[in-house]
Amino acid sequence: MFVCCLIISHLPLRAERIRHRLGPEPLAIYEGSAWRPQLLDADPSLRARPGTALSRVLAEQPEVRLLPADPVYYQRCWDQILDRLQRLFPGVEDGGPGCAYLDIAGLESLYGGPSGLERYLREAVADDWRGRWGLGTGKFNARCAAVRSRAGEASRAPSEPAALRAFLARMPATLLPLDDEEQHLLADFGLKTLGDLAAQPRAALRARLKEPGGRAWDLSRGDDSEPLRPLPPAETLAAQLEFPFPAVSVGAFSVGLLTLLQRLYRHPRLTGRAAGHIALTGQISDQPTWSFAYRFRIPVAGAEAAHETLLAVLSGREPGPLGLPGPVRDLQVELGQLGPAPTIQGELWSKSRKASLCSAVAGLRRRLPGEALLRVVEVEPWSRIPERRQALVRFTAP
Amino acid sequence: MVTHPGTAPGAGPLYRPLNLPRPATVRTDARGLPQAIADTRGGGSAAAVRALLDAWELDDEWWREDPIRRRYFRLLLADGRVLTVFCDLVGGNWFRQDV
Repeated sequence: MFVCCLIISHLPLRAERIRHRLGPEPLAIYEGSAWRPQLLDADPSLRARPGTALSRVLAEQPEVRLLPADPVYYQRCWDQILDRLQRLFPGVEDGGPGCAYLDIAGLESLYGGPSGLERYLREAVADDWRGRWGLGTGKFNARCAAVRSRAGEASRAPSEPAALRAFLARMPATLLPLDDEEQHLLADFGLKTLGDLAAQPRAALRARLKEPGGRAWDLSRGDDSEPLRPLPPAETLAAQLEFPFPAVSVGAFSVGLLTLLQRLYRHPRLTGRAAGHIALTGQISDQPTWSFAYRFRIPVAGAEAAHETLLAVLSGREPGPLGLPGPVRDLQVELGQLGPAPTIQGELWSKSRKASLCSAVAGLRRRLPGEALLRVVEVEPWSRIPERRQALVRFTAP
Repeated sequence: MVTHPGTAPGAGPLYRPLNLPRPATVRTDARGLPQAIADTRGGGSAAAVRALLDAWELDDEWWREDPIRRRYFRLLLADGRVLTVFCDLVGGNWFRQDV
Protein backbone atom coordinates (compact mmCIF):
# COMPACT_ATOMS: atom_id res chain seq x y z
CA MET A 1 0.00 0.00 0.00
CA PHE A 2 1.24 3.48 -0.78
CA VAL A 3 -0.76 6.35 0.53
CA CYS A 4 -0.66 10.10 0.32
CA CYS A 5 -2.20 12.33 2.96
CA LEU A 6 -3.35 15.86 2.18
CA ILE A 7 -3.76 18.26 5.08
CA ILE A 8 -5.23 21.72 4.67
CA SER A 9 -4.72 23.45 7.99
CA HIS A 10 -7.17 26.16 8.98
CA LEU A 11 -9.62 25.26 6.23
CA PRO A 12 -12.24 27.88 7.31
CA LEU A 13 -9.56 30.56 7.34
CA ARG A 14 -8.27 29.65 3.90
CA ALA A 15 -11.80 29.42 2.52
CA GLU A 16 -12.60 32.94 3.74
CA ARG A 17 -9.31 34.34 2.45
CA ILE A 18 -10.05 32.89 -0.98
CA ARG A 19 -13.68 33.99 -0.97
CA HIS A 20 -12.98 37.59 0.08
CA ARG A 21 -9.56 37.80 -1.65
CA LEU A 22 -7.97 38.84 1.62
CA GLY A 23 -4.32 39.60 2.10
CA PRO A 24 -2.14 38.43 4.99
CA GLU A 25 -3.95 40.60 7.55
CA PRO A 26 -4.77 38.84 10.85
CA LEU A 27 -8.12 37.13 10.56
CA ALA A 28 -10.41 35.37 13.02
CA ILE A 29 -13.63 33.47 12.38
CA TYR A 30 -16.21 33.27 15.13
CA GLU A 31 -19.31 31.21 15.74
CA GLY A 32 -21.86 30.67 18.47
CA SER A 33 -24.56 32.80 19.96
CA ALA A 34 -24.65 36.58 19.63
CA TRP A 35 -24.14 37.09 23.36
CA ARG A 36 -21.20 34.74 23.63
CA PRO A 37 -19.40 34.36 20.31
CA GLN A 38 -16.35 32.16 20.35
CA LEU A 39 -13.47 31.45 18.04
CA LEU A 40 -13.82 28.83 15.32
CA ASP A 41 -10.52 29.47 13.58
CA ALA A 42 -7.83 32.13 13.62
CA ASP A 43 -4.45 32.93 12.21
CA PRO A 44 -1.72 31.07 14.08
CA SER A 45 -0.05 34.43 14.69
CA LEU A 46 -2.94 35.32 17.02
CA ARG A 47 -2.07 32.37 19.27
CA ALA A 48 -5.74 31.79 20.05
CA ARG A 49 -7.34 28.37 20.27
CA PRO A 50 -10.74 27.45 18.83
CA GLY A 51 -13.39 27.89 21.50
CA THR A 52 -11.76 30.96 23.04
CA ALA A 53 -14.24 33.72 23.82
CA LEU A 54 -14.15 36.36 21.13
CA SER A 55 -14.00 39.15 23.70
CA ARG A 56 -10.71 37.76 24.92
CA VAL A 57 -9.28 37.59 21.40
CA LEU A 58 -10.32 41.20 20.76
CA ALA A 59 -8.85 42.35 24.04
CA GLU A 60 -5.47 40.93 23.07
CA GLN A 61 -5.63 41.67 19.31
CA PRO A 62 -7.94 44.65 18.71
CA GLU A 63 -6.82 45.07 15.09
CA VAL A 64 -7.88 41.57 14.02
CA ARG A 65 -10.45 41.31 11.20
CA LEU A 66 -13.49 39.29 12.25
CA LEU A 67 -15.76 37.19 10.06
CA PRO A 68 -18.79 35.12 11.06
CA ALA A 69 -18.48 31.37 10.44
CA ASP A 70 -20.12 29.88 7.36
CA PRO A 71 -19.92 26.10 7.91
CA VAL A 72 -22.00 25.24 4.83
CA TYR A 73 -19.57 27.14 2.64
CA TYR A 74 -16.55 25.46 4.23
CA GLN A 75 -18.10 22.04 3.65
CA ARG A 76 -18.90 23.01 0.06
CA CYS A 77 -15.26 24.01 -0.49
CA TRP A 78 -14.06 20.75 1.00
CA ASP A 79 -16.52 18.72 -1.09
CA GLN A 80 -15.23 20.46 -4.22
CA ILE A 81 -11.65 19.56 -3.29
CA LEU A 82 -12.68 15.94 -2.71
CA ASP A 83 -14.52 15.89 -6.04
CA ARG A 84 -11.41 17.02 -7.84
CA LEU A 85 -9.24 14.50 -6.01
CA GLN A 86 -11.69 11.73 -6.90
CA ARG A 87 -11.27 12.58 -10.56
CA LEU A 88 -7.48 12.44 -10.29
CA PHE A 89 -6.83 9.47 -8.01
CA PRO A 90 -8.18 5.92 -8.01
CA GLY A 91 -9.14 5.98 -4.32
CA VAL A 92 -9.83 8.90 -1.98
CA GLU A 93 -10.78 8.63 1.68
CA ASP A 94 -12.32 11.62 3.42
CA GLY A 95 -10.53 12.09 6.73
CA GLY A 96 -12.80 14.99 7.72
CA PRO A 97 -12.67 18.62 6.56
CA GLY A 98 -9.07 19.45 5.71
CA CYS A 99 -7.74 15.88 5.63
CA ALA A 100 -7.87 13.34 2.80
CA TYR A 101 -6.03 10.11 2.06
CA LEU A 102 -5.23 9.17 -1.53
CA ASP A 103 -4.35 5.83 -3.02
CA ILE A 104 -1.23 6.55 -5.04
CA ALA A 105 0.00 2.97 -5.56
CA GLY A 106 1.61 2.72 -9.00
CA LEU A 107 1.32 6.41 -9.80
CA GLU A 108 5.01 7.13 -9.25
CA SER A 109 6.11 5.26 -12.35
CA LEU A 110 3.22 6.77 -14.26
CA TYR A 111 4.35 10.32 -13.53
CA GLY A 112 8.07 9.86 -14.10
CA GLY A 113 9.39 9.18 -10.63
CA PRO A 114 9.07 10.75 -7.17
CA SER A 115 9.47 14.37 -8.25
CA GLY A 116 6.90 13.95 -11.04
CA LEU A 117 4.40 12.44 -8.62
CA GLU A 118 4.96 15.20 -6.08
CA ARG A 119 4.40 17.82 -8.78
CA TYR A 120 1.19 16.03 -9.83
CA LEU A 121 0.02 16.04 -6.21
CA ARG A 122 0.75 19.73 -5.68
CA GLU A 123 -1.10 20.63 -8.86
CA ALA A 124 -4.16 18.66 -7.74
CA VAL A 125 -5.23 21.41 -5.34
CA ALA A 126 -4.98 25.16 -5.95
CA ASP A 127 -1.97 26.86 -4.33
CA ASP A 128 -4.27 29.17 -2.36
CA TRP A 129 -5.25 26.27 -0.13
CA ARG A 130 -1.63 25.80 0.96
CA GLY A 131 -2.06 22.03 1.15
CA ARG A 132 0.58 19.92 2.87
CA TRP A 133 1.28 16.52 1.37
CA GLY A 134 2.74 13.47 3.03
CA LEU A 135 3.57 10.12 1.45
CA GLY A 136 3.95 6.87 3.30
CA THR A 137 3.34 3.18 3.32
CA GLY A 138 0.19 3.64 5.36
CA LYS A 139 -2.34 6.30 6.27
CA PHE A 140 -0.85 7.20 9.65
CA ASN A 141 2.71 7.37 8.33
CA ALA A 142 1.54 9.56 5.48
CA ARG A 143 -0.31 11.81 7.90
CA CYS A 144 2.82 12.22 10.03
CA ALA A 145 4.77 13.12 6.88
CA ALA A 146 2.12 15.67 5.92
CA VAL A 147 2.29 17.25 9.36
CA ARG A 148 6.06 17.63 8.88
CA SER A 149 5.64 19.20 5.42
CA ARG A 150 5.62 22.89 4.84
CA ALA A 151 2.57 24.48 3.25
CA GLY A 152 2.41 23.75 -0.46
CA GLU A 153 5.09 21.06 -0.28
CA ALA A 154 5.30 17.28 -0.01
CA SER A 155 7.46 15.07 2.17
CA ARG A 156 7.84 11.34 2.64
CA ALA A 157 7.90 9.00 5.58
CA PRO A 158 10.72 6.46 5.18
CA SER A 159 9.62 3.02 4.05
CA GLU A 160 12.51 1.12 5.66
CA PRO A 161 11.25 -0.05 9.12
CA ALA A 162 14.12 1.20 11.29
CA ALA A 163 14.23 4.59 9.55
CA LEU A 164 10.44 4.84 9.81
CA ARG A 165 10.52 4.16 13.56
CA ALA A 166 13.17 6.86 13.99
CA PHE A 167 11.07 9.26 11.89
CA LEU A 168 7.93 8.59 13.91
CA ALA A 169 9.68 8.72 17.28
CA ARG A 170 9.91 12.51 17.12
CA MET A 171 6.26 13.04 16.25
CA PRO A 172 3.81 14.22 18.96
CA ALA A 173 1.51 11.61 20.47
CA THR A 174 -1.44 13.94 19.83
CA LEU A 175 -1.42 12.72 16.22
CA LEU A 176 -2.65 9.30 17.32
CA PRO A 177 -6.30 8.48 16.63
CA LEU A 178 -7.34 8.57 20.31
CA ASP A 179 -10.18 10.43 21.97
CA ASP A 180 -9.64 13.35 24.36
CA GLU A 181 -9.78 11.21 27.49
CA GLU A 182 -7.19 8.78 26.13
CA GLN A 183 -4.98 11.66 25.05
CA HIS A 184 -5.18 13.17 28.54
CA LEU A 185 -4.18 9.83 30.01
CA LEU A 186 -1.09 9.65 27.78
CA ALA A 187 -0.19 13.21 28.78
CA ASP A 188 -0.64 12.37 32.47
CA PHE A 189 1.83 9.52 32.05
CA GLY A 190 4.29 11.86 30.38
CA LEU A 191 4.04 10.09 27.00
CA LYS A 192 4.46 13.08 24.71
CA THR A 193 5.96 11.58 21.56
CA LEU A 194 5.40 8.44 19.56
CA GLY A 195 8.92 7.43 20.63
CA ASP A 196 7.82 7.60 24.29
CA LEU A 197 4.88 5.36 23.43
CA ALA A 198 6.91 2.87 21.39
CA ALA A 199 9.30 2.44 24.32
CA GLN A 200 6.47 1.07 26.51
CA PRO A 201 5.41 -2.58 26.54
CA ARG A 202 2.44 -3.11 24.24
CA ALA A 203 0.63 -5.11 26.89
CA ALA A 204 0.79 -2.17 29.32
CA LEU A 205 -0.84 0.21 26.87
CA ARG A 206 -3.43 -2.34 25.89
CA ALA A 207 -4.24 -3.02 29.53
CA ARG A 208 -4.74 0.68 30.18
CA LEU A 209 -6.42 1.85 26.97
CA LYS A 210 -7.83 -1.42 25.65
CA GLU A 211 -7.88 -1.89 21.89
CA PRO A 212 -7.07 1.77 21.00
CA GLY A 213 -3.96 1.53 23.17
CA GLY A 214 -2.71 -1.54 21.31
CA ARG A 215 -3.36 0.13 17.99
CA ALA A 216 -1.63 3.34 19.11
CA TRP A 217 1.44 1.29 20.05
CA ASP A 218 1.43 -0.41 16.64
CA LEU A 219 1.15 2.94 14.86
CA SER A 220 3.92 4.48 16.94
CA ARG A 221 6.23 1.71 15.67
CA GLY A 222 5.21 2.17 12.03
CA ASP A 223 2.94 -0.85 11.88
CA ASP A 224 0.07 0.73 9.99
CA SER A 225 -2.20 -1.81 8.36
CA GLU A 226 -5.46 0.11 8.34
CA PRO A 227 -6.79 0.02 4.80
CA LEU A 228 -7.80 3.05 2.81
CA ARG A 229 -11.57 3.31 2.68
CA PRO A 230 -12.32 5.12 -0.57
CA LEU A 231 -15.41 7.22 -0.97
CA PRO A 232 -17.96 5.50 -3.18
CA PRO A 233 -17.87 6.87 -6.71
CA ALA A 234 -20.74 9.29 -6.32
CA GLU A 235 -22.15 10.15 -9.69
CA THR A 236 -23.41 13.67 -9.47
CA LEU A 237 -23.68 16.64 -11.75
CA ALA A 238 -23.32 20.21 -10.60
CA ALA A 239 -23.64 23.62 -12.15
CA GLN A 240 -23.36 27.09 -10.74
CA LEU A 241 -24.74 30.47 -11.66
CA GLU A 242 -23.80 33.90 -10.41
CA PHE A 243 -26.70 36.31 -10.49
CA PRO A 244 -25.94 39.63 -12.16
CA PHE A 245 -27.64 41.27 -9.16
CA PRO A 246 -28.50 39.60 -5.86
CA ALA A 247 -31.82 37.84 -6.52
CA VAL A 248 -34.26 39.49 -4.17
CA SER A 249 -37.42 38.09 -5.69
CA VAL A 250 -38.89 34.66 -6.19
CA GLY A 251 -38.99 35.37 -9.95
CA ALA A 252 -35.25 35.91 -10.32
CA PHE A 253 -34.44 32.90 -8.16
CA SER A 254 -36.88 30.76 -10.10
CA VAL A 255 -35.42 31.73 -13.48
CA GLY A 256 -31.89 31.05 -12.23
CA LEU A 257 -32.90 27.68 -10.84
CA LEU A 258 -34.66 26.66 -14.05
CA THR A 259 -31.68 27.76 -16.16
CA LEU A 260 -29.32 25.62 -14.10
CA LEU A 261 -31.65 22.63 -14.18
CA GLN A 262 -32.02 22.90 -17.95
CA ARG A 263 -28.26 22.99 -18.33
CA LEU A 264 -27.79 19.94 -16.11
CA TYR A 265 -30.53 17.91 -17.75
CA ARG A 266 -28.95 18.53 -21.14
CA HIS A 267 -25.69 16.97 -19.98
CA PRO A 268 -24.90 13.76 -21.88
CA ARG A 269 -24.63 11.82 -18.63
CA LEU A 270 -28.21 12.64 -17.82
CA THR A 271 -29.72 12.12 -21.24
CA GLY A 272 -32.58 9.68 -20.90
CA ARG A 273 -31.89 9.33 -17.18
CA ALA A 274 -33.32 10.79 -14.02
CA ALA A 275 -32.05 12.33 -10.79
CA GLY A 276 -33.24 11.12 -7.41
CA HIS A 277 -31.63 13.79 -5.25
CA ILE A 278 -31.00 17.50 -5.53
CA ALA A 279 -28.94 19.85 -3.41
CA LEU A 280 -29.07 23.63 -3.66
CA THR A 281 -26.58 26.00 -2.11
CA GLY A 282 -26.51 29.74 -2.42
CA GLN A 283 -24.44 32.61 -1.18
CA ILE A 284 -26.71 35.03 0.62
CA SER A 285 -25.88 38.70 1.06
CA ASP A 286 -24.63 39.32 4.61
CA GLN A 287 -25.69 35.83 5.69
CA PRO A 288 -24.10 32.39 5.94
CA THR A 289 -24.42 30.17 2.88
CA TRP A 290 -27.93 28.79 2.40
CA SER A 291 -28.43 25.15 1.56
CA PHE A 292 -31.33 22.88 0.81
CA ALA A 293 -31.40 19.19 -0.09
CA TYR A 294 -34.34 17.19 -1.32
CA ARG A 295 -34.91 13.60 -2.32
CA PHE A 296 -37.50 13.24 -5.06
CA ARG A 297 -40.19 10.68 -4.34
CA ILE A 298 -39.93 9.55 -7.95
CA PRO A 299 -36.68 10.25 -9.84
CA VAL A 300 -37.19 13.25 -12.09
CA ALA A 301 -36.09 13.13 -15.71
CA GLY A 302 -36.79 16.70 -16.83
CA ALA A 303 -35.71 20.19 -15.84
CA GLU A 304 -39.22 21.66 -15.85
CA ALA A 305 -40.61 18.86 -13.67
CA ALA A 306 -37.73 19.20 -11.21
CA HIS A 307 -38.20 22.98 -11.15
CA GLU A 308 -41.91 22.71 -10.48
CA THR A 309 -41.40 20.20 -7.68
CA LEU A 310 -38.70 22.26 -6.01
CA LEU A 311 -40.66 25.49 -6.09
CA ALA A 312 -43.63 23.67 -4.58
CA VAL A 313 -41.46 22.23 -1.80
CA LEU A 314 -39.63 25.48 -1.13
CA SER A 315 -42.77 27.61 -1.13
CA GLY A 316 -43.77 26.22 2.25
CA ARG A 317 -40.46 27.02 3.90
CA GLU A 318 -39.55 29.82 6.30
CA PRO A 319 -38.09 32.41 6.69
CA GLY A 320 -38.78 34.64 3.73
CA PRO A 321 -40.01 33.61 0.30
CA LEU A 322 -38.94 30.04 -0.56
CA GLY A 323 -37.13 29.86 2.76
CA LEU A 324 -34.42 32.18 1.48
CA PRO A 325 -33.04 34.29 4.32
CA GLY A 326 -31.93 37.12 2.00
CA PRO A 327 -30.89 38.11 -1.54
CA VAL A 328 -29.12 35.24 -3.32
CA ARG A 329 -25.80 36.16 -4.92
CA ASP A 330 -25.08 32.82 -6.55
CA LEU A 331 -26.74 29.46 -6.79
CA GLN A 332 -25.30 25.98 -7.16
CA VAL A 333 -27.41 22.99 -8.08
CA GLU A 334 -26.16 19.45 -7.68
CA LEU A 335 -28.10 16.46 -8.95
CA GLY A 336 -27.35 13.07 -7.45
CA GLN A 337 -28.56 9.49 -7.44
CA LEU A 338 -28.59 9.41 -11.21
CA GLY A 339 -30.32 6.41 -12.64
CA PRO A 340 -32.73 5.19 -15.25
CA ALA A 341 -35.75 7.36 -15.88
CA PRO A 342 -39.04 6.06 -14.53
CA THR A 343 -41.26 4.66 -17.23
CA ILE A 344 -43.92 7.13 -18.21
CA GLN A 345 -46.52 6.28 -20.78
CA GLY A 346 -45.86 8.28 -23.94
CA GLU A 347 -48.37 10.25 -25.96
CA LEU A 348 -50.27 8.30 -28.58
CA TRP A 349 -50.01 10.97 -31.26
CA SER A 350 -46.79 12.84 -31.81
CA LYS A 351 -47.00 16.60 -31.93
CA SER A 352 -45.47 17.27 -35.29
CA ARG A 353 -45.16 21.04 -34.73
CA LYS A 354 -43.27 20.54 -31.51
CA ALA A 355 -41.05 17.95 -33.16
CA SER A 356 -40.23 20.19 -36.08
CA LEU A 357 -39.45 23.08 -33.74
CA CYS A 358 -37.14 20.86 -31.71
CA SER A 359 -35.45 19.77 -34.90
CA ALA A 360 -35.02 23.36 -36.08
CA VAL A 361 -33.55 24.41 -32.73
CA ALA A 362 -31.14 21.48 -32.77
CA GLY A 363 -30.07 22.34 -36.32
CA LEU A 364 -29.49 26.00 -35.48
CA ARG A 365 -27.54 25.08 -32.38
CA ARG A 366 -25.22 22.90 -34.44
CA ARG A 367 -24.63 25.68 -36.97
CA LEU A 368 -24.30 28.66 -34.64
CA PRO A 369 -21.41 28.92 -32.20
CA GLY A 370 -21.78 29.49 -28.46
CA GLU A 371 -24.96 30.74 -26.87
CA ALA A 372 -26.50 32.02 -30.10
CA LEU A 373 -30.05 30.90 -29.35
CA LEU A 374 -31.43 32.84 -26.46
CA ARG A 375 -34.85 33.80 -25.27
CA VAL A 376 -36.17 36.60 -23.14
CA VAL A 377 -37.75 35.63 -19.84
CA GLU A 378 -39.67 37.82 -17.45
CA VAL A 379 -37.76 38.00 -14.17
CA GLU A 380 -39.20 40.89 -12.21
CA PRO A 381 -41.54 42.60 -14.68
CA TRP A 382 -42.87 44.81 -11.90
CA SER A 383 -39.43 46.05 -10.86
CA ARG A 384 -38.75 49.79 -10.79
CA ILE A 385 -35.20 49.05 -11.91
CA PRO A 386 -35.38 48.53 -15.69
CA GLU A 387 -32.48 46.06 -15.99
CA ARG A 388 -34.10 43.74 -13.47
CA ARG A 389 -37.27 43.16 -15.48
CA GLN A 390 -36.11 40.73 -18.16
CA ALA A 391 -33.14 38.48 -18.76
CA LEU A 392 -31.76 36.41 -21.58
CA VAL A 393 -31.38 32.70 -20.97
CA ARG A 394 -30.42 29.89 -23.28
CA PHE A 395 -33.24 28.79 -25.54
CA THR A 396 -34.31 25.24 -25.00
CA ALA A 397 -36.73 23.37 -27.18
CA PRO A 398 -40.21 22.99 -25.67
CA MET B 1 -18.34 13.25 -8.80
CA VAL B 2 -18.64 14.77 -12.21
CA THR B 3 -18.88 18.52 -12.26
CA HIS B 4 -20.53 20.16 -15.18
CA PRO B 5 -17.83 21.87 -17.24
CA GLY B 6 -19.86 25.06 -17.32
CA THR B 7 -18.53 26.04 -20.72
CA ALA B 8 -19.60 23.50 -23.32
CA PRO B 9 -22.01 23.21 -24.92
CA GLY B 10 -22.14 26.90 -25.48
CA ALA B 11 -19.82 29.13 -23.55
CA GLY B 12 -20.99 32.35 -21.96
CA PRO B 13 -23.07 33.37 -18.99
CA LEU B 14 -26.18 31.37 -18.25
CA TYR B 15 -28.20 34.37 -17.29
CA ARG B 16 -27.79 37.78 -18.89
CA PRO B 17 -29.70 40.79 -17.74
CA LEU B 18 -31.36 42.81 -20.46
CA ASN B 19 -31.40 46.56 -20.86
CA LEU B 20 -28.31 47.31 -18.79
CA PRO B 21 -27.49 51.03 -18.52
CA ARG B 22 -25.05 52.23 -21.20
CA PRO B 23 -22.65 55.07 -20.38
CA ALA B 24 -23.61 58.39 -21.96
CA THR B 25 -21.95 61.75 -22.27
CA VAL B 26 -24.39 64.45 -21.21
CA ARG B 27 -23.85 68.19 -20.98
CA THR B 28 -25.94 69.79 -18.26
CA ASP B 29 -26.87 73.29 -17.24
CA ALA B 30 -26.31 74.87 -13.86
CA ARG B 31 -29.38 73.11 -12.44
CA GLY B 32 -28.13 69.72 -13.56
CA LEU B 33 -30.68 69.39 -16.39
CA PRO B 34 -29.47 67.80 -19.65
CA GLN B 35 -28.69 70.28 -22.43
CA ALA B 36 -27.03 68.03 -25.03
CA ILE B 37 -26.19 64.35 -25.51
CA ALA B 38 -23.11 63.15 -27.35
CA ASP B 39 -24.22 61.44 -30.53
CA THR B 40 -23.97 57.74 -29.89
CA ARG B 41 -24.45 56.87 -33.58
CA GLY B 42 -20.84 57.67 -34.37
CA GLY B 43 -21.19 61.16 -35.80
CA GLY B 44 -19.19 62.71 -33.02
CA SER B 45 -21.41 65.81 -32.70
CA ALA B 46 -23.67 66.44 -29.74
CA ALA B 47 -27.44 66.33 -30.12
CA ALA B 48 -29.12 69.24 -28.40
CA VAL B 49 -32.07 68.64 -26.13
CA ARG B 50 -35.18 70.33 -27.52
CA ALA B 51 -37.55 69.49 -24.69
CA LEU B 52 -37.60 67.69 -21.39
CA LEU B 53 -40.61 65.38 -21.62
CA ASP B 54 -40.49 63.82 -18.18
CA ALA B 55 -38.31 63.50 -15.11
CA TRP B 56 -38.49 61.14 -12.16
CA GLU B 57 -36.31 59.69 -9.46
CA LEU B 58 -35.65 56.11 -8.52
CA ASP B 59 -34.45 55.41 -4.99
CA ASP B 60 -34.23 51.71 -4.25
CA GLU B 61 -32.29 49.16 -2.24
CA TRP B 62 -31.12 51.90 0.12
CA TRP B 63 -30.68 49.23 2.77
CA ARG B 64 -27.98 47.46 0.75
CA GLU B 65 -24.27 48.07 0.34
CA ASP B 66 -24.78 49.41 -3.21
CA PRO B 67 -27.96 51.48 -3.09
CA ILE B 68 -29.63 52.56 -6.33
CA ARG B 69 -30.32 56.29 -6.65
CA ARG B 70 -31.04 57.62 -10.12
CA ARG B 71 -32.62 60.71 -11.65
CA TYR B 72 -34.23 59.84 -14.98
CA PHE B 73 -34.99 62.24 -17.83
CA ARG B 74 -37.05 61.54 -20.91
CA LEU B 75 -35.76 63.87 -23.59
CA LEU B 76 -36.83 65.03 -27.02
CA LEU B 77 -33.71 65.74 -29.05
CA ALA B 78 -33.32 68.38 -31.72
CA ASP B 79 -33.23 65.67 -34.40
CA GLY B 80 -36.60 64.34 -33.29
CA ARG B 81 -35.42 61.30 -31.37
CA VAL B 82 -36.77 60.52 -27.92
CA LEU B 83 -34.19 59.29 -25.44
CA THR B 84 -34.15 58.30 -21.77
CA VAL B 85 -31.06 59.05 -19.72
CA PHE B 86 -30.37 59.02 -16.03
CA CYS B 87 -27.81 60.45 -13.69
CA ASP B 88 -26.48 58.00 -11.14
CA LEU B 89 -26.76 60.05 -7.96
CA VAL B 90 -24.30 57.78 -6.16
CA GLY B 91 -21.45 57.89 -8.68
CA GLY B 92 -22.41 61.04 -10.59
CA ASN B 93 -22.19 59.40 -14.04
CA TRP B 94 -24.76 59.53 -16.84
CA PHE B 95 -26.30 56.54 -18.59
CA ARG B 96 -28.80 55.78 -21.34
CA GLN B 97 -31.48 53.22 -20.73
CA ASP B 98 -34.72 52.19 -22.39
CA VAL B 99 -37.56 52.41 -19.96
